[in-house]
Amino acid sequence: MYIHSTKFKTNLISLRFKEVIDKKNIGLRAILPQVLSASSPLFNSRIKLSEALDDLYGASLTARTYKQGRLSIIEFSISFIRPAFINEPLLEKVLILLKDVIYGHKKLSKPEFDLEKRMAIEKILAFENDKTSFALSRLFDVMFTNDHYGLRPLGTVLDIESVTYEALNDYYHTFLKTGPDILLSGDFTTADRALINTYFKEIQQPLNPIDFIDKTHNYQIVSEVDQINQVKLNIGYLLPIRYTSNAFYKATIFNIIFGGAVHSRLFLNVREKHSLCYYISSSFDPYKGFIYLYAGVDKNRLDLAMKVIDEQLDDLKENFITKEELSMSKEVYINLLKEQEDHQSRQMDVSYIRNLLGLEGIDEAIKLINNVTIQDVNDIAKQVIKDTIYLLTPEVQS
Amino acid sequence: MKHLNYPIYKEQIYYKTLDNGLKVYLIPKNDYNKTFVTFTTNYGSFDQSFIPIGKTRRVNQPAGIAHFLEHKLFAMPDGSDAFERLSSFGVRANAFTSFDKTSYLFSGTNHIKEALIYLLDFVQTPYFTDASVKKEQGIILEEYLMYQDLPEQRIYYGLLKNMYNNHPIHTEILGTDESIMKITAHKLYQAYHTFYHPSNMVLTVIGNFNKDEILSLIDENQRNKQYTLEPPIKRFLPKEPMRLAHREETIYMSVSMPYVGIGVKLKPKADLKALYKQSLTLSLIMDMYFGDGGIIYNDLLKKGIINQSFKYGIADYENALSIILYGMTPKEEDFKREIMTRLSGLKRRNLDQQAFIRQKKVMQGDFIRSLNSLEHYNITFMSLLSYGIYLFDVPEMIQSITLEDVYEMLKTIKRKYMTTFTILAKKDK
Repeated sequence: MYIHSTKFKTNLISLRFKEVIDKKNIGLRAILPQVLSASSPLFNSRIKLSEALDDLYGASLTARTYKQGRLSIIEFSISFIRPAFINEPLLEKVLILLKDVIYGHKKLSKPEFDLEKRMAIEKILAFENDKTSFALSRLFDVMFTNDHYGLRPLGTVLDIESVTYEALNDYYHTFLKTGPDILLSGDFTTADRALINTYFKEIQQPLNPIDFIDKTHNYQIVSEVDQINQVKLNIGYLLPIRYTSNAFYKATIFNIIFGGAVHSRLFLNVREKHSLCYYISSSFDPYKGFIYLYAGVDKNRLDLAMKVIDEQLDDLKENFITKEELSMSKEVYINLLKEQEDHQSRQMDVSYIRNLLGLEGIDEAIKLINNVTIQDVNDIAKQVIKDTIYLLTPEVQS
Repeated sequence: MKHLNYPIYKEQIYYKTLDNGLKVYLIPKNDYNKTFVTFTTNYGSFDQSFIPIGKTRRVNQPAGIAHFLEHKLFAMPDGSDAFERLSSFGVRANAFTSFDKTSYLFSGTNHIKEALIYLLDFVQTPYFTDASVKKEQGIILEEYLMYQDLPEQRIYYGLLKNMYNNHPIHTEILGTDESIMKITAHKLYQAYHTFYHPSNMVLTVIGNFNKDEILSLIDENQRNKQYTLEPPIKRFLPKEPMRLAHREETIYMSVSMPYVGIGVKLKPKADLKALYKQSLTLSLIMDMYFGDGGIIYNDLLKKGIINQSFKYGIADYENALSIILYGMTPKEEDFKREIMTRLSGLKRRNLDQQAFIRQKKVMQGDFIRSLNSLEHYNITFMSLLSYGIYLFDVPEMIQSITLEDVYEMLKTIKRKYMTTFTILAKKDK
């Protein structure tokens, strides 16, 4: 995939390796890109690799493992200043470095493995300190207890602890067969692209990120206690619509009206009208078909907040939204799609997803958004079912 | 309209100071879809002590009032909410208050002209009542509590509080739970009329627009409002001694691993341009030793003292200059000892010439890269203006840093000016 553009000052090369997320590989996949990108045979210490990047005017190397729907994706990307701004061609040096980092290792470095394993665990522990994200990930844990969908791409402390040096060396070779998809963005000449092809060979793996298995409805409230000042309220709703469905844009517009924007029902009523929280927001997951809501709520007014949230959903089921709400939501959505094109890596991520799903381009998407009606939004609202509530609450002072 | 041209970077900037004193900067980037607009007053949480417009006597206001004002400015006299109205143009609106600025902003790809005019109009329509102030206090207290649950936020402010005795940087931008309650509609008006005068404000537009059309639109809008030119605002910053306010502090929170922060208090130059060069020099030093390729960073990483949560930054403000480092660590005592010893020992190291040159190259690359983001471009551009610096002067300022500048700076990093702030896990009951 090549996105030609001269508006950014940088060129971006990204290689992605994907597989269906699998509990037994999670720890391996969390650590592997970190070990590979710590040092490599040609740049055989962290300091040397970092200096090599610095010499390329601070080229930025990213190695990460992330989740897209039901897929675990490992990405290596490198962003570097375009020759137009520095009068020094960097491409070949960049390719040598990137190739060595991904493919160059005969055997992984044991000291880097130990270091990265420790850091992967500490990263998970650090994540738990952000109570807002932590509480949200707990909602997914309890909502998808017996489902792959609840798996976290970076694993749990147990997932990481169980990874051995030998197992990771074995997995390295398996991993190399899962890609790459090659993604380019910026201003590359034909000769540049031919050069890139001599370094990397694309291996197509047509995998669908969508999980078509609907979650069975099971209403539950799970409450846990932590030493915090504010209740973290999280609610999961079922809405069995996927990215590739005809109703996708309708569902997205519904979510924008419910809690996905600052003119949303939740924001205006729970936050602005009743001052019950500082943040409240909802998102639609079009890979599994559910909506999740998260809010930080004053602990003495939790019941009222939950009541107001329910009232808002009921109102969307029972009554029609206004024309203004609809047109405003369309504007917000279209604006978001267009703004994504102004951010190099985000634009690449979005194009990559659309590619994987075989979806229409942005112009076609805008047409479909403009076709959504008030009736459509009401139809969607009626399909939404409250499923799981997860609360992280302050301890009661004794 | 005046014009700045930077052919090396393929960038052009147009500007004009309007009759009422408002400074307008226009940066056309027509290959982008969006336009990003900031309307900013040089007024932040620092500005608590000043002479109100048209008065002769100095007033002292409660901490957090600039941020409170930012929230309240969205309430319109007809009961509508400016944020909602601005969003109704399909743009993404926001606002932020920092130590020295308050900025109202939006980005969008459609209805830019309407949104821009509305932005000017709502910021220039203050409406505060005691009842609405009271209601806002509830929302801001929730925001305050939310931040109290974030360890990194606690460390950052905790270190500033430990370092500074009198400088208002020792208080959070939000204020304290007590100071928020002291804010009244009268005090908001007093601050508003003083600091939201156009001559204390900057409007910066970057992105996809027609510069002539936008400028005449802004000009016409401002002409129709009755502003008289005002003399510069008199503000007062208390004198700050070099000594620390507190050497150390430990608090207990729900954390999975201890957090430690170290603050290094330094002597700021009075001239703001010189201060910014100090800050660039410090960034260079820190990147050289504590960046990804830094010797100290890599050594501490190997010893298991730090991990990827490790961060550092430079706080450079009028009358306040410091280095802040923090991170999670399983070995909090080692973290403190090692980092403080190595920081104060930097002056005895021989500087690696090559590393110094390489670091400048990285800073140059980072500068070019940062122009990709219109948000970053706009905000950095307008922030540097109050230091008397144009954004595109920065590469030359970086090049002008000498080894002597580095040695001079290193001499001022002293153990006695370092403070620590520690967060330990609460014991389970």
